[in-house]
Amino acid sequence: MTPTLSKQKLALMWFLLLGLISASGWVVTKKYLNFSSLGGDFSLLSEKGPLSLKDLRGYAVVLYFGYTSCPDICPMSLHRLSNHFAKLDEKERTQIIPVFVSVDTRGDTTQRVQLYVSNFFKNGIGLIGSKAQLDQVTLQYGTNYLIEEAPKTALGYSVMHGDRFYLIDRKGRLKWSLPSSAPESEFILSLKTLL
Amino acid sequence: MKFFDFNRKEPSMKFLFLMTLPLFSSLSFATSPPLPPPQAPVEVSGAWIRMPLKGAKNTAGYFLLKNTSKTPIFLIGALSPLSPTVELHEHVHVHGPNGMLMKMQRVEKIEIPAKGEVKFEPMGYHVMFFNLEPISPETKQESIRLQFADGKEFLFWAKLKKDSKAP
Repeated sequence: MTPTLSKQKLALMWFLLLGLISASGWVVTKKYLNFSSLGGDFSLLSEKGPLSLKDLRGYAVVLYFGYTSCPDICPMSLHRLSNHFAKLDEKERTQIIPVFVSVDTRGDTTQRVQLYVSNFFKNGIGLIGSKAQLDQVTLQYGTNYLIEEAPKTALGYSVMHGDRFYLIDRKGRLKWSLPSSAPESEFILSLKTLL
Repeated sequence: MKFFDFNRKEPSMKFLFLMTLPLFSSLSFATSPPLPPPQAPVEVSGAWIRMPLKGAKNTAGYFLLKNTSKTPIFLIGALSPLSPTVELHEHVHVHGPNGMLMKMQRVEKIEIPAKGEVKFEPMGYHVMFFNLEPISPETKQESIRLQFADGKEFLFWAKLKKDSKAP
């Protein structure tokens, strides 16, 4: 005869399983569902002088954090975004401003960052900031970056950054945060909701 | 006697003799003529370099590298007219306080297993070209010379491409 589980044991197992599920749900909620607190105004430096997010009020903004010496993540992600933009009509496109924030406090200048953005977008804006400003804005948007000494390489340091786009509506509110690899349909739908 | 007499039609014997001296000296002192380094037993396919972007000082190159020999070989470096500083790099993911961060770092040595292959591709291994030399927009390809630990080399052409045309 095969051993069978008693009713009490089964009930206990169910109880434990339910506990586990609800606990993991709580952890997920705690970790991911605080989106509404993210985003907000920031002030950084553009080629034409200081620029705040609120200066762009009336336009939707797509924000990205990277650096111009980035070997492939930044070029590929920005290229992907420019492809998504190409799927929008001209009127929609002019109402969304891509903003590239360089987190490379050592190497990037406003001129270089602006030139870099122009590879991908006609109306893009390149921004740089001090360490304090970048620490603040990345924290606000729920991402971060790190600059590390790398004496073995010609650059002398290495820049680590995330790979997400932050989609901000005309009133300056963060509406979506999408990984650069998100499907095109998702991007286009999300971009349209900003307008 | 003047060494050079431009009025003379024929060069002087002394001048001719002196002219031959470097020839003999190079023959007697040179141990061996410079030979190109031996060719590494590899095959490269699908090589491309990201067309340098405006504002960017660096770019990256990718290819599939096959070892055709029966022993592992080690790639230790690369050279290219595209830039004075070429390095082997890789992408790694590191945990940041707010999720994954991407990092690139230099690799000193990459093993290509016997009869095996290593793919250089975006988000993986790549050849980094730092402080790019000015390049004409008409340039279609550029050479890369791979250097291996045993002193062997391999020279090939890589196409310059935009991301939109990348394989």
